[in-house]
Amino acid sequence: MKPYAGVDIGNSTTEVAIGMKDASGQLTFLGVGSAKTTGTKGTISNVTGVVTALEKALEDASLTRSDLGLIHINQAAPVIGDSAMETITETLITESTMVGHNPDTPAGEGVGIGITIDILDINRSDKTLSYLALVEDMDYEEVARRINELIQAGYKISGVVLQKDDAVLVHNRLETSCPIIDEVYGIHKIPRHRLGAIEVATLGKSIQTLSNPYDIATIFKLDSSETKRVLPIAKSLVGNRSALIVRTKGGEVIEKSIPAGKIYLIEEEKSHLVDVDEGANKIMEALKGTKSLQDVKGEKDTNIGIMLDSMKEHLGRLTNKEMDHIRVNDLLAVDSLRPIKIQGGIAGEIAMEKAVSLAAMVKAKGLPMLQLASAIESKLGITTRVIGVEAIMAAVGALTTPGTALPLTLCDMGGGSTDFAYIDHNGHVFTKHLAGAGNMVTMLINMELGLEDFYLAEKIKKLPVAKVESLFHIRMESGQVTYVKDPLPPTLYGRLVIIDGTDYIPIHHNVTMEKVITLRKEAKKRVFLSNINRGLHMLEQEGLSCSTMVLVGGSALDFELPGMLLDHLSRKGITVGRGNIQGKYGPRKAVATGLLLMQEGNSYEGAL
Amino acid sequence: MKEPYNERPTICILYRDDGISLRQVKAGIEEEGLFYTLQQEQGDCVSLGLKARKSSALGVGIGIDAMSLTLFVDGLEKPLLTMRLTSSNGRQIGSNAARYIKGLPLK
Repeated sequence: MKPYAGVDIGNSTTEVAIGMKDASGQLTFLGVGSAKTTGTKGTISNVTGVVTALEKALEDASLTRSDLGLIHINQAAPVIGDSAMETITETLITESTMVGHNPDTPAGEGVGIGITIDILDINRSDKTLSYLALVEDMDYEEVARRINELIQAGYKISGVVLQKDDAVLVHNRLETSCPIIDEVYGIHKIPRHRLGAIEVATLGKSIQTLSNPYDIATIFKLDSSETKRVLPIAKSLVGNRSALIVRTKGGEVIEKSIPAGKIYLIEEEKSHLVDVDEGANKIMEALKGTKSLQDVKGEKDTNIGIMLDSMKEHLGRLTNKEMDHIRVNDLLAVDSLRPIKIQGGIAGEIAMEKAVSLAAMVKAKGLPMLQLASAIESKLGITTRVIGVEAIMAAVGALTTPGTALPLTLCDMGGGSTDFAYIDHNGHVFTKHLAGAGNMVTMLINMELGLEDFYLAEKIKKLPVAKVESLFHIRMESGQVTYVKDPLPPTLYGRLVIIDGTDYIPIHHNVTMEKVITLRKEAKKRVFLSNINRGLHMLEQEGLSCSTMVLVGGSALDFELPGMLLDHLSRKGITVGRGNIQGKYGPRKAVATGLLLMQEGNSYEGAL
Repeated sequence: MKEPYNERPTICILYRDDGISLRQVKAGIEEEGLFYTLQQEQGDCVSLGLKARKSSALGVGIGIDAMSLTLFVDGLEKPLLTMRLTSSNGRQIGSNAARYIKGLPLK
């Protein structure tokens, strides 16, 4: 028999495997090749990419086109995913009642209580009261001189608030110490002639008094219901290095919930209604209760309705369908926190707002693979057939991984969806496409670190983070230190960077290494671990059990994800790991290999 | 000549003229909580900065002439930063000299 090829056209990569069967039907693998997929998967434009990949495979196998007798292409899964995040809480500061930023260099220590007043107005004021001096644009030496004079003259100044970054400079020139906060750019918004309290924490600690509701009650003489109202203020100030609270008539910190709307999980017979504000768990629980999801709709004219409509519109454009024909087949909801600037904030304060992230998966109509097969056949003059279901082919190919056996569960961790395929000795076949995969992980990293940079988020996802400790050395997150031979540019000094080959990509945002690492790992767990658990649960419901799981797909190459999954699943007695197709290709070429193993017709049993 | 180690190690500043920029540089260092020594000298900002670095026990020197400022650090023969003087960037260089020693990213 002549050598033949299996061609897998994926969303981003086209992979080819070439093999040959001898007289007894024994298959030998001869070579592989891959190339970027040209055009959208399932369209005639894919032919170019197929030819390129095939040529590479032929070279690898030391064969030419005329040596090939047959090409198998797979029935590509017409599945596309998308994800978005909806914020469901909002923090507002009204009447400039609180300042809670974290200036780099506050000065003095302790708590100061007094009436807020512009520094220029103090010498006309009542000497029996204590004051918090507010200083707009004034030179630090003059500030110190004035305060010293005022104190000499008998005025009581219990704290200072500076617009400019001068707290240490002023404090060093004062004859009596008092707490000083600086970098308050919106200082003109702070109400004057009101009772206020300022606090600067001791070195290394955070404030103790203004983050305690009962201490706030003591200072401002609040009763118990008023104390309940200041709870959000105290909460926002926990962990801060400095703070200022001003008592105004209606001023408070308000934590609002932004009604996101409801979701309809639509089955054939009935619909389930879930309020997005109840969080991701409620949504996923409701989803678990559905037997076969037909579609997901958002409540009209709500944020969630708009979000789902825009997802469907986007997916409609990708699959060339009317938005009304798009049916969401699966949903993954994940609770998130998102750093957002507080409205009414005076110094750029940020609050971690609750958000719900959603990934939706849509099955488009079948892709025109037969058309594509004819186009390939015309182009190359080699008989081309469409066979096999993509997910099953991947599972069959995965079986060439040493150490695997039936029953086998394949988990294809892609960018837009997580796909499961189960095959066993008895001919049982189970496939499921789940929403939520690599792209959702990137979105979570992007949103939760407040990066606003998808490209940077991708890099953070895929590569370990490091800190530039000097112009000549970088400390990796693992603790390893790497030296460079030429001095690093000053813009990288002291910064977190992602090392991408020979490039150093700086993270300019105000995050610590610990936060980047934790968030990165959590994002991967929240998407992939959830989906693996969902997949296992679905298998259980079908009466199928899994003890061998093989991971393939782009996210299977992630440097820490397979390890995290192994850790989790080994406790359930499941062997899981990155595939090693044909014993040499890692998690790649699974479908292409499966296509070689496949016999004519659609039953895969003969392939095993 | 390097400062003896039983004294507080400082950033060394060599300057041509005592003016606004010098005051700003001093303020930048002081606000970050570090210390400096001063010396008035003739020369251009590059040679002043290099000489300043060699006199500093912390290995950080700043040179200021009529037009520009430089920041020199140990291990680099050319300036880490060079800036044309404006009405406000003295503060930034002083701050960066201190932040460099503290291991913080530069502004």
